[in-house]
Amino acid sequence: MQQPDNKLYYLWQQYLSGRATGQELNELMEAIGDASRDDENIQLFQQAMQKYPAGAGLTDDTQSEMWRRISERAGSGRQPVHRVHFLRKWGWAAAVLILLCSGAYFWMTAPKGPKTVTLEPQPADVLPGSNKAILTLADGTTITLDSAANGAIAQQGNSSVVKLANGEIRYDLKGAASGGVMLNTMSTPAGGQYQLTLPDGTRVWLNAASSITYPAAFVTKERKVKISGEAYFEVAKDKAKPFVVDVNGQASVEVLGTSFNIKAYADEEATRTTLINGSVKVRNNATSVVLSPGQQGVSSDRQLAVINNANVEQVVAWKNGIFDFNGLAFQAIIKDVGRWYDIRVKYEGEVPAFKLKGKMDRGVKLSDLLRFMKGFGLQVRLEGRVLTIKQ
Amino acid sequence: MSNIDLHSDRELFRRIAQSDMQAFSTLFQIYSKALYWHALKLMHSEFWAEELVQDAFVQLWMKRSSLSDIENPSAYLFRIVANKALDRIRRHELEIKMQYVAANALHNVTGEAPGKQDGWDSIKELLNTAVERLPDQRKRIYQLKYKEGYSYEEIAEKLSISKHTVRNHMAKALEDIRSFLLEHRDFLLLLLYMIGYF
Repeated sequence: MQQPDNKLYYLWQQYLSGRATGQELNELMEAIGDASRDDENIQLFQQAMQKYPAGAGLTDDTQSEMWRRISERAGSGRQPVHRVHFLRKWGWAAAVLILLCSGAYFWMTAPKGPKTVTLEPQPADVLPGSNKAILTLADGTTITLDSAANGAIAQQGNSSVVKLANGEIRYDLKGAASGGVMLNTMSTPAGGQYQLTLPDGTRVWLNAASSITYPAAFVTKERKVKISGEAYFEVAKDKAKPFVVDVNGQASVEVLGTSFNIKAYADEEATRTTLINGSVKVRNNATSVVLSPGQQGVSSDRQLAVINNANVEQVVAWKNGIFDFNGLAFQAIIKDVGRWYDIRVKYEGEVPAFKLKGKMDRGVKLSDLLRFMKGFGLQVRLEGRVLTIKQ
Repeated sequence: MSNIDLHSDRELFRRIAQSDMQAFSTLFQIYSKALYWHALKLMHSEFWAEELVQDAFVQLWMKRSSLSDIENPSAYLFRIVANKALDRIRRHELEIKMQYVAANALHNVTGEAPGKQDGWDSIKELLNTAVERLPDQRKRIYQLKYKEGYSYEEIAEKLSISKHTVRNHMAKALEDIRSFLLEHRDFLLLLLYMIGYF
């Protein structure tokens, strides 16, 4: 049987294999929560179950025990059935059960979903960011990527722009790269993130409020791209064509086949390039330095410093759907949080100076995060998209 | 599935529709293991898998008059169980999540990535607290089953009580644990989120 190529099927596979992450489990539970999708869910579940044909588990003993209980409960039906009487009796039970269950269901699922019945006025919750971005083609056409259908969505010279089932954008080069340079830009809003595979096979993860500009086909001697905000790269090896990242038009990073993260938001005091593996050369004005894996290059106005033993896992946590707070100053965390939830943060009085421990899934709703912050004794107030924090 | 199976399944359904208990029993013998396996994969809980399959067969019997029209009995049966499972998951989402976490912790299905230990410990701690608060007998039975991996039979023998009683205690233990988790819903949800991966 052909395997359905969609997100929900993937979630079912993850669930059944026991490998679902917290976020995936939540997404699946949300899909299951919608009873109108039962048909779809059951079909996908049964298809995914074909991988687990041999059913272990039920012992003969338990089986006969189950049969005993079934025949006990079904037993009353052995006599001639007074069907009307029966239906009435069970109809009542069913009605009560449905009432109880729907009560429990509404209660348990109340904080989420559109079915929420709110008794007292409450401000709307702020949802976490999601996969959304805008793709600007060479002729200025823009495509909103959270809504575009899957499949080929544009043609740029010999490259076709394809949107995969998981939402990711990929450039497929058919034939030789030729002709003029067609520059495309992908940009994410605050509260957005996106994934992209460039025409040379280089994979790019774009964090919130970030952008990347690149040619639809790499025809020149260098593979040159330009970014703002934060991006994680897994650069495809091609010794003949060095990969160069231009950061905010100032610093640049020259790559020799490698994975690395660049964080270059305008409201951060420095641009941080963290190398996971391979080798990159970070340039800042006239100075440059070659990083080895685990090192972080910090370029600010006139300086270029290197941090050894950077916490690499923490730096790239965002691309794995996680905030890693461990050891970070409160203010630094809040900057990332603000970009992800698309909120502005104001402090009343002192900026809290403590550091946090722990990690958080990026799927958490803002209200849950705020409750957590209140647990630290902070006073937080959300008005529209402005969050005021008071110690 | 071969035509013969489909034929004999339909024949069984036709006879069940006429209140033939023997046919009903045969159907149970043929399908209960496969249905249980499906339910187990959905619920990550032996207890709920048993319950669902039982419910499905009881429902089948209660509605037997309509069975003679069913075209594909096997598909029909699996569908009833899956429907019941989704329904149960909706009502007990939180518990199923915990069950998923606990089952994976027990069988060590997920290769635990470094740095995920914090979350695991907190989850286990909360579950332990819930179990600690159970009345003595329930606690003992729960622990024998989920910590030591004994079967209901072995537990019954160990404690000199009937298997039926063991199962009833288990049902009440799960109910107690669920209530406790619901009381700590806020904390737990955040915790589940906080660790990112289970």
